Amino acid sequence: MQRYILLWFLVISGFIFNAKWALAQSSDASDDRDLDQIEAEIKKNETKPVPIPVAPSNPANSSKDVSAAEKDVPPEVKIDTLSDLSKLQPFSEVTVLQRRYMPKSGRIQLFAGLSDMVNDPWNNTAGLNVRAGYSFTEAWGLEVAYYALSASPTQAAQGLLSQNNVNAQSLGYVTGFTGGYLTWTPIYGKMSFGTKKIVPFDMYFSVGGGQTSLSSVPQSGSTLGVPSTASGLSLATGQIYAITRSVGFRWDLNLNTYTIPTGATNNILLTLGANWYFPEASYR
Amino acid sequence: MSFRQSLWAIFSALIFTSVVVRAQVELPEEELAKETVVPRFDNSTTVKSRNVILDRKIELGVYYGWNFAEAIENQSKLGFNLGYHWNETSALFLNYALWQAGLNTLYTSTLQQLYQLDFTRAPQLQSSAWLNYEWDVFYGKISFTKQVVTNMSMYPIFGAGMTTYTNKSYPGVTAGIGTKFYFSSRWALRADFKLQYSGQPSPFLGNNALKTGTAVPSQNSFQDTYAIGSIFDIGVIALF
Repeated sequence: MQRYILLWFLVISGFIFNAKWALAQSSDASDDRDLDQIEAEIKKNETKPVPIPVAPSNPANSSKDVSAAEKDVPPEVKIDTLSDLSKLQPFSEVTVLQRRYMPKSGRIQLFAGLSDMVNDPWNNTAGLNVRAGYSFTEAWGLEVAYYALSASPTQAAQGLLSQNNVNAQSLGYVTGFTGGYLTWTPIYGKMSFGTKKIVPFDMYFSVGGGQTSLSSVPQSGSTLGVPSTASGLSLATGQIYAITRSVGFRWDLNLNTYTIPTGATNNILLTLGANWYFPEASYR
Repeated sequence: MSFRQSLWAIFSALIFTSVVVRAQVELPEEELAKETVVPRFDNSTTVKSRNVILDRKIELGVYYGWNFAEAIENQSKLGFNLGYHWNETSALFLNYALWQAGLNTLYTSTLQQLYQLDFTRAPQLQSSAWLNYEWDVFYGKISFTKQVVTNMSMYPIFGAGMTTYTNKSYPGVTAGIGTKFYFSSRWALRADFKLQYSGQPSPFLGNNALKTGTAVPSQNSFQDTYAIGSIFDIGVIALF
């Protein structure tokens, strides 16, 4: 008889247990389990305030120091239930970590673009700019650049030649530039293009040096002695707008300085082009 | 009930309850998702709340600028921008500048020294006034070395205006792009780069009219021409 009672108890309890287990699939019982685990973790890892050492050398001030230290220490909160979490002190320091859409650290970058010299009043100077670089961190990297440029006389140069018989290209014109840079990228941003899309971008600043290739047209009656190359400081800034994790649109403004017999000269080159990063960043 | 019947009862109860309860969570096949798609929303909003409000604000700024493509006249100028934003994306600006007196000595000193060309005889650049439309369509935020977060904007610029020389004024059109880095919701650093196509007197004159020691020509003898300028302005602005 007792065996039958036991068996029917098992039947009923099995029915109840089975139903409860099955209902758990469609209810929040798993959440309850998670909450139980969270409560267990909270109890296990209750934060204990770290005592602040107080120098005992000056007994007169010790009580004052202790009271000041006590003011800085948040009161201990005993966490027994979830509702106790509301008694916790707010965080004093919160670090927000956000993945970069187009990371640079440890990646090689290649760049190709079209350049135009915006500050040469005598020559329409334009051409191709290619660059290769490597980023050690998100902020710091190295880059080398090469410009292949060609020049044609501007309207002012043509006027000088036709009216005053002076060829402005005798003052020298630029045919190329090769340089190296240390690149610092302190600015990371996001730009909304209208109301449809947000595009992440980096803004960088580069400092380095390089060699400018020069040429000139001989002018009868004068010898300016324009050298074939001239070296000097080179500065650059620009932005890279991410199109994908590996490809971006980049603009670059490059200032090259050098000195030739006619004086100190600055060339400003504006470049628009595409930037590629290798390897892929999908593993990040 | 025998022990064997009881065992059957237990077994049947367990199976029965499982079947019944499983039937509660099963969904009809036709109601299940057959493919995964990325939801698209027609009313997407990229900027929910702006730190920098431009709508119905007056903007006043001062700047220093250059025309890098100017061969003869002094390339630098000092000016101001005064504009009104009638909404978050559109503004109309008066851009006025006084050009620095003198010549672009980087080239004119060489031309004077080698060829005795005196370009002070040509009409001198004095001032310029432009009416520009700015389309504030790009707005964003930046972090500087992860220490400072601020806002910035980029905007295409289109305009028309007049450039005044000592002989007369010349019309022109301009187009470019500008950017503002905001220090606060009121103050910002502003930098504009524009290409300008405008009239000007050609500073080159034949028949040795520019040669040192010859008779100074009339300013009306210099021919009118059109040239492309590369304009770069940088300054600070305030919103009111």
